[in-house]
Amino acid sequence: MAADHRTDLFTDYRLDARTYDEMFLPDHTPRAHYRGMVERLISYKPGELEYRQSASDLTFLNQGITFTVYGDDQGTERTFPFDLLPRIITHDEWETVEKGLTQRIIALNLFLHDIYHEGLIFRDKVVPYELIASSRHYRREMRGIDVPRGVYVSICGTDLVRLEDGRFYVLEDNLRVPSGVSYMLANRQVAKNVFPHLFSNYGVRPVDQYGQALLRTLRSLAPQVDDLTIVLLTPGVYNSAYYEHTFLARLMGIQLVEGRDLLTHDGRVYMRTTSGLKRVDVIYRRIDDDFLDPLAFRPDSTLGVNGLFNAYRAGSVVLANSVGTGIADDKAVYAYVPAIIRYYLNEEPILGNVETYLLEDERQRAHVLSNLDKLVVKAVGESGGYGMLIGPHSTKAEQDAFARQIAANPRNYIAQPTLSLSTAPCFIDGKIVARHVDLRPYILYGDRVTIVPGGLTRVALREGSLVVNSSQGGGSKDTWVLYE
Amino acid sequence: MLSRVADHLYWMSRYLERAEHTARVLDVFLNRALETAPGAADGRLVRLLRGLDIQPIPEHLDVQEMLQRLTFDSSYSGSIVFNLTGARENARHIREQISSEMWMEINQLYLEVRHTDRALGWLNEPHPFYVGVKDGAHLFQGITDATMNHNQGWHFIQIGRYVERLINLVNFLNAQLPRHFSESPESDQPVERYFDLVALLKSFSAFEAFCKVYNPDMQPERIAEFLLFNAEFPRSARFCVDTLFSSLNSLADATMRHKNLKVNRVAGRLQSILSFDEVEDVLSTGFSAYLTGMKQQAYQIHDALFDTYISYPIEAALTN
Repeated sequence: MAADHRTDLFTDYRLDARTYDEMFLPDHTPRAHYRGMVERLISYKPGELEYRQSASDLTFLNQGITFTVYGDDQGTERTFPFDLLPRIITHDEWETVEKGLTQRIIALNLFLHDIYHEGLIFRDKVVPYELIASSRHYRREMRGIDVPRGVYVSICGTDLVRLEDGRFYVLEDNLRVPSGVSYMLANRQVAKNVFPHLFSNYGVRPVDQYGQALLRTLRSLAPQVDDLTIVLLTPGVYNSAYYEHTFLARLMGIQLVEGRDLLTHDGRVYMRTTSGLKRVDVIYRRIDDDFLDPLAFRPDSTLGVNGLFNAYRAGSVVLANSVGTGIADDKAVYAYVPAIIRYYLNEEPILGNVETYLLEDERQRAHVLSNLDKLVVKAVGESGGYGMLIGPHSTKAEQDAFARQIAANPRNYIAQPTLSLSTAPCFIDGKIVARHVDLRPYILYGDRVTIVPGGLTRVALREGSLVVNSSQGGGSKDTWVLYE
Repeated sequence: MLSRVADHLYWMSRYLERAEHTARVLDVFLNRALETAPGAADGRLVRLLRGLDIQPIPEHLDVQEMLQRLTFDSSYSGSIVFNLTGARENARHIREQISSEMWMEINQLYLEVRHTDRALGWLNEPHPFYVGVKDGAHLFQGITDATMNHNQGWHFIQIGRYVERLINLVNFLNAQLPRHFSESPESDQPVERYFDLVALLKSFSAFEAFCKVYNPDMQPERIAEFLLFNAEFPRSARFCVDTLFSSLNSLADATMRHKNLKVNRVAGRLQSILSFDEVEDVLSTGFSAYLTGMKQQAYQIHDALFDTYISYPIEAALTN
């Protein structure tokens, strides 16, 4: 049986004993839910996969599905590499993921409400107050403000990784302005167009309802039902995710606005249209807290709207996500999320956390500093793979630089073991090879929690690499969740 | 529609019109220069620059250098590249509002021009290059009409194009035509004079159209009459104002405003002047004074358009 699958196509597929492979069992037989896929792949004529791959690449290019890379002179707009072979998740696996993410977003919202109101969790000494107060993402301005339905985070994109034991763990919560959902939708569209045969009889659950679900979530946060104006606030064309902003605005049929399109008057928010000023009720903002309102936050922001925060505080406009959610995905607060779940819900966390060292603790710091070559160090407030040291892939000079930064400001860093992300089959240079992947499902929370079955599977395209970020040589693939 | 989007559409259209106009005028200029009698070239470059409203006119003039600047100098606000870049940048900011066909055309045109810039020796063969810019702009207009909803946004594109076209026409006529009124027909070089007038018409792609209405006997009065008052020629002042007035009325309807808006009144007044005046009225006012007055009214239309739809004061909008 095993030998049958070792045709030319799979000769370069390497399994690592300490890594979970999505497709193959350790003895090189395919897992049950990948069996159909393996058979199909073997049945294709030589050149078929190459042909489909180039057809999909062309689709992305022509549709202008691009992102912007910062700090790259060449500039600028690139397509996000798409891998042809879908990543498959079984019904049961997904059920666990869905329950775990639902539990997590509910607990994190209760946590946010608590720390901006009574602070019971500090009184009960579950989370130290100093940890929160010392985060630059904590917004004192939000103290005592009630947000609609008590929901602070209504749009979230959690990064999951599957580790050696085959279980999913949460790596990051991404509670501010998570991106990538347009790639989840585009990947499915392109996959269906260029390779319909792969789908037949597989029982793949759809993801296209995301736009509707997002609109419904945004609506559920508004005080009234009729005559509702919802807009998407973008930083503009120079933002790396601008394509996604235009895509989502079109999908929901709402206006895509920039800060300069909005103004406040008498505590209300208006947009400037050719027919005069139009009142705005809900803003799906894709701008960080810092840049939202120069009067309340960074005064040098040219992307924001003067007076927006006051209007928000007065309750005359809804922001999704709310202001101040970044505190809950501070990487040092992350370490406390299991305790947060237990505290508010009185339940055991369904999805585990990755082991995390807090560097303010002297013993943990000593351990980390003597093992920098083995660990991953991250700045607590950064995302997108920036501000990171990957121990095993770093030079001594880089390690020394991080050691100095940690000593200077231990609160600003955490460390985690180098994780062995699971591998999935990818079609690269005419061969099917194993590459490390993660998974970012998209969670919506308004009057209820909605998670479209699937998410964005990101791929580290270079052999052995563990970095999946689009800005650093990552790609992505379609993600299938099966009906059964 | 967002005011910012209207702003971008309007300017995209104006920049593109300006780029096309410059390409056409430079093409005709170079063509004319091939057969100029000795001595007659004096002052021609100055008149060209004045016609393109280039200020200040450089003291030391070198034809090759000026052409290079007017075509490829991206820091020079009169150049084709500068204006095409402006058009494309404005389109880029509202890419999701225009059709993808429109975006592809304007992007392609821009990339081709940038590519030519790097390829040396274009000056040996300038004609195909300028024709390429002209064709690209025409294609864009056709694609716009064929693929975009003829909604508010489309009207802003129309208004931008015809405001720019009107201003370009007025500037060019003012720089080129007056001397022909003062020169007697029996001047030293009737051939040169004839070809200068033909070149003037060709600068607006108007030679063939003119010959269908008048005979090819080049009278400056007839040329002024044609380029100012002809209702059917798409580059005449009258045609520009008719079209933009009609788009302004559609905009007022679409945004549910009264039609006695200032911008409609200014444009309407200009339209009636152009409908009823004759070339004798122009000459009795003084050709330059008449054109200067028209240019001021074009600027007034622009200002009133922005005051009404784009950069209106908040207080005014709230009391409506």
